[in-house]
Amino acid sequence: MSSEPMASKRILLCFDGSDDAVRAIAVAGELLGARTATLLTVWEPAASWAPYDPATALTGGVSRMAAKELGLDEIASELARATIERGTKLAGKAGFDVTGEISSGKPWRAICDRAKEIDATLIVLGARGLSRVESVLLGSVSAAVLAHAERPVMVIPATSGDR
Amino acid sequence: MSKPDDNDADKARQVAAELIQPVGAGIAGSARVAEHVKTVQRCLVLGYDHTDSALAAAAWAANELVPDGRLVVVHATRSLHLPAMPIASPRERRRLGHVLIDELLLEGTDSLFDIELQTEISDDDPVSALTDAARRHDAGAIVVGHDEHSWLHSTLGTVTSQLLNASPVPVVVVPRELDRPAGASASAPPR
Repeated sequence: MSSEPMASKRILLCFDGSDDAVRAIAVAGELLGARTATLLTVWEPAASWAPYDPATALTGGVSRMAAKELGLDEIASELARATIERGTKLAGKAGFDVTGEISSGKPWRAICDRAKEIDATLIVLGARGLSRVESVLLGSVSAAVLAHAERPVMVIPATSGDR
Repeated sequence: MSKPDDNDADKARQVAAELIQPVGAGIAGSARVAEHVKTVQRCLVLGYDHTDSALAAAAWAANELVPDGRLVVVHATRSLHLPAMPIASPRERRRLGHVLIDELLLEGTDSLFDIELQTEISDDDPVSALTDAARRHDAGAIVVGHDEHSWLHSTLGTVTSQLLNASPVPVVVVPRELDRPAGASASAPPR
């Protein structure tokens, strides 16, 4: 083990169920081989949507109440459970010795915090996640994680694999 | 594929070995598989520009490739969106690039000496140089350093963000080591 310093250490795989994330796990497995990994799925509580979105700034209070009434948070955490189950299966198939974890909050912040806690040697994520906002270069989560992670981040492009 | 005879001969030998000595054949078979896996040498492309973060990126890549990987160190002599340095001839730019890579070997991690190193000085901009090298060497990933920029700057297109958009392979972005003050060796190369 001492000849492979990276192999014994933990990496953080970020999984949101998007096609890019699925591909990211497969590509990372091929590239990194069998390693201990934590697979993280983050869901965003409805209460944290409004303040970040100028379009909903005025109706924020109303939508928060509606979210509570409709049980959006329960639905989101339920979805996260299904996502993490799928992700762990995929990661196991890709060769990782994987533990699944669910977290809630702003995705980029949750990812950076968890990486710090487990002292991850590498964060792996797809270039673009579930958000369909077409940014010119990068998904917003990937960009924020890159800026704040303070550790190596592997970004896997959507086209990787069919080059 | 091109030599069906060899394959047939191999198969026949394996069948014979299995018939004669089942245990021995199992070991020989797994050894052959291991040999095949080992021939696919792991290769990474490193973008190097003599900043602290690039040094950290080199260390990450080298540790990752130990013991038998190959690292292609690429130094691009032209800045993104800028023409080539007018005062330097291509030959001078290449010499400068080689000096920087020599400095990497002097300052960098010891793991760099344990792996196969290849250097490339490109007259192109960093993004084209790195993606081109990754394609040519069939690299697993491109590794670059990342210095802190303001939000606006990074959104408008530093090398890193353009690279993430253009790269055909995964990009590993390594920040400078946190215990090193910013620009410790980047602004004033040790003499």
